[in-house]
Amino acid sequence: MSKTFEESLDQLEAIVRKLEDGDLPLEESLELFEKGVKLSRECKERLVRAERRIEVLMKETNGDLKLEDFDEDE
Amino acid sequence: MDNPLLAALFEEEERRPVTVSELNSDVKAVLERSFAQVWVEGEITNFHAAASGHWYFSLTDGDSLIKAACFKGQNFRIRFKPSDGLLVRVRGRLAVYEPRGEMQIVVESLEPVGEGALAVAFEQIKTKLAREGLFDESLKRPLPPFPRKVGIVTSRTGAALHDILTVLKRRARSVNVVVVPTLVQGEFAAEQIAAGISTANLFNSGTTENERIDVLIVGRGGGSAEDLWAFNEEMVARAIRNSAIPVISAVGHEVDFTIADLAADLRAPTPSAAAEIVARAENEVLQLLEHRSVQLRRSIGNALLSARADVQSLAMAPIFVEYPARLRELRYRADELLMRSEDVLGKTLRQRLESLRGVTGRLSPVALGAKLGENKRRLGLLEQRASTAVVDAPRRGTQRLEKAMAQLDALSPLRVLHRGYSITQRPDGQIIRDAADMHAGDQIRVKIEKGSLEATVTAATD
Repeated sequence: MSKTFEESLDQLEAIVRKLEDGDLPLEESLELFEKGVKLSRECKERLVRAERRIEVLMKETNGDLKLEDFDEDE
Repeated sequence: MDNPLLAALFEEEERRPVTVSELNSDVKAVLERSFAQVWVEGEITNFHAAASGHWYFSLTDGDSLIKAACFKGQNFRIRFKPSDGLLVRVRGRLAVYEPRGEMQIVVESLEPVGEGALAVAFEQIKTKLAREGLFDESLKRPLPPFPRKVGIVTSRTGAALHDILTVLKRRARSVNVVVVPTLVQGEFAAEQIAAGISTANLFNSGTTENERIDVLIVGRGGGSAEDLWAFNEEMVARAIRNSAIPVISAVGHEVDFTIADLAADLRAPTPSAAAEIVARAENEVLQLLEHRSVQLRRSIGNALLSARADVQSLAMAPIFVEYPARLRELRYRADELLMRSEDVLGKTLRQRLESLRGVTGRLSPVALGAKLGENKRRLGLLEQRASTAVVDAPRRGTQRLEKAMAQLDALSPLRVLHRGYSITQRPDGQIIRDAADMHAGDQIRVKIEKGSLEATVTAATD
């Protein structure tokens, strides 16, 4: 999934707006509807199923950034 | 004897004036020993911060004045920046600058009189940065509506991180966290916090859009004013303002206000509250998604409805409506023609049928029954009248007889005779009414109430 979450949301909103304007042929409306339903389901899944990652970001002495997992028990 | 001054007193032949250097050196030794610790209150004048980092100023009480210096190695500890007119209490020692024979106070600590040093420093930094426009409302950026990843610049072991993670765990299932560990108090805290903010920004510029940090929480848990001081430092405020990532400040408790709060895009009263703000966004996006799918369903419903309406209005097109109507009209005309031809052909037949229907009607059991009923009714009436007559007749007869007899009685001549009148008759019974009809010697009969008299007329007069 290359789209960002916000892009997906924007796309979903555009579809809703297009459908609500209501000047589309029925065929096209149905296609858009299916696409919209799929998008909203994907977005929701990304929200609900995502597993939280907790990481620690540090800058090493040579200036490189280092990202490592955060141990919550520490 | 080492001391030339003393030597001069005792050894006359050695007597000579001391040099200026000698004098100053001796004064320095005495003064610096005697005034190794001073504590003095006065107003600052002629304040000057030199490029070297040292501060030079004078202290005065209005009548008297003394110079003071606060060197770089000391003044970095002083939070506020002294300025002319400020009443201060100074701790330090007296020092003599031999080359000039001048004395001054070397300041070790500086306290404003009245307000605390931190309060003064806070106001000074606030005023300075506000003048620069660092806190302008126009610079505040909106938080991202749907943060997917939150950066937390704080102590790795502090209460703030613990509180934030607790809230996120409970309220936001999907928000990722990047901790940028820093000191949050002490001499190097401000520097580290500022560095942490820029590290987060550096991370963003080197990663894909999906992996970027959407919002930064910068803060720490509660503590004394001194503990929180790092968040009042100018460099932290500047780092916040320079961050490309929007910043939520979250320092201490609700009552703690810091310069970082003023510089941040949003101030959260506590670290937990900052996490709530991020978590709320997740809830809002879920609601938004729900709303969008309702909208989707509604609009496709509307599209289907309007398509159905289109079909219906096509069905109502004249061609479809008029054709059946025309058909009906033709059918009516056909019916009418048929009826008219039947009229012509079947009129006489129908008349006969009708008269026949009349006859059969009269003969019908219903008609006969009705007639029978009518006769029965009439018979009943007659019987009733007859019986009435039979019962009444004797009674009515008696009444009539009594009435007739009374009338008869009233009219009877006997009643007249009873009253004294009499009736005069000829012998044949004819009633005599006129004297002229009679002559003397005629036989007459006079009837009175009781019996009659036979008499002869002697004379007739009128």
